[in-house]
Amino acid sequence: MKYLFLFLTIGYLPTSYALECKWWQTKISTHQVSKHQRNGSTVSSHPRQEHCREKWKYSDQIVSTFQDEKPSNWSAQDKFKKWNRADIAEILKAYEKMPDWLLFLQNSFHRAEISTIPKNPAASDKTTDSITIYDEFYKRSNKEAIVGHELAHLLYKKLSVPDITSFTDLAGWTLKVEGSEVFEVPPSKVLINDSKLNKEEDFANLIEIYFTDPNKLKSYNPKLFEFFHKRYPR
Amino acid sequence: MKFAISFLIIFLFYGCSSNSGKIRPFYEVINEIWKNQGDVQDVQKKLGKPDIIDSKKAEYFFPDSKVPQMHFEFNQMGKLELALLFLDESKIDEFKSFLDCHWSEKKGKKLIADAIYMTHEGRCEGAQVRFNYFSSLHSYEVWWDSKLKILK
Repeated sequence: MKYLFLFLTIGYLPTSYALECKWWQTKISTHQVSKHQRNGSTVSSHPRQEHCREKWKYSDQIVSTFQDEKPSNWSAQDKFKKWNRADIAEILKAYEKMPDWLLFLQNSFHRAEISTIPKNPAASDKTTDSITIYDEFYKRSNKEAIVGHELAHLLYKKLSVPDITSFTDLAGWTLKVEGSEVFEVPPSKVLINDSKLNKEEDFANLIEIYFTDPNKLKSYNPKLFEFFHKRYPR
Repeated sequence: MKFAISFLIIFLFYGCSSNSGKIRPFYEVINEIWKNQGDVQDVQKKLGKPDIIDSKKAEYFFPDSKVPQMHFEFNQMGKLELALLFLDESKIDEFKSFLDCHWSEKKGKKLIADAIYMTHEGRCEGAQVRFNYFSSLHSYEVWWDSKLKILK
């Protein structure tokens, strides 16, 4: 009888355990949520249990995409290394500032030391939808622009052919067929020098400007600004 | 009775037009012109009025654009000696099966600025046809080229 009583008491005790959050989350203690408006309807006051909340938006969804190995079939001679939490946190901070249309385009983030291209902070591999972050990234102050630029390379993959041809015309690119070769001729004036390397680099640069300094793009090329604005609302 | 006849006419019209109206892929049309050693008139007859035309070449743009989708060059006799089609990347396997030849292919990657792109090229050993991936248009350049040596 004594044992049965003890068993029942233990069984009915409220489950008390220490909630453990992941390193990219913060613990929120039990509290009373006050009455508020949400999506046009009123949410009445209610208690909220202790829970973990991500420190940076989207972290729960993308933290698993940080991988210690190099992307499959990586062709350059870069030296890859393992991620540390501080380095991941910098990416998560930048990622939460991304507009909706640049989110969840990458399969993975990788970490390497120095790029084969001098002073390159990051690179994207369109064949694996991966982004590699180099040490140089952490020396830069424009981290959001860099992450946005790399995601823009992956966004380009989602463009339809009519959208690409419209972009080509609006950005001032021409395609010439000479001999038995096709040449992409860049516009005479570009905002960032390496835009002339190819149309897609130009697209990534222009998206970066549209995202970080929209007025600069608007005055440089109003029609292109409208083209982006229609597809990628700010 | 009048309604029945009208219905029959409409039925026959749509029936016939839907059969004859089946659009052939551009690669099929170009390949036919190529095999027949067509001239600029043949090209126009089969593909309509080009966006650019002179005695040596004809070019067709993508709809509502100035980006070339098809390009044709003619020799001194006025016969087709070079043709280019930008083929949607999703159609490349369909095209390869259509041509029914032994394809020798090579796939790889290349780094331009801060991005890595896929490369893919191939050629039909028994014909003067080759292709290579044109990443920035999500398309393949497909070439019919009289200067291309036929591999056996």
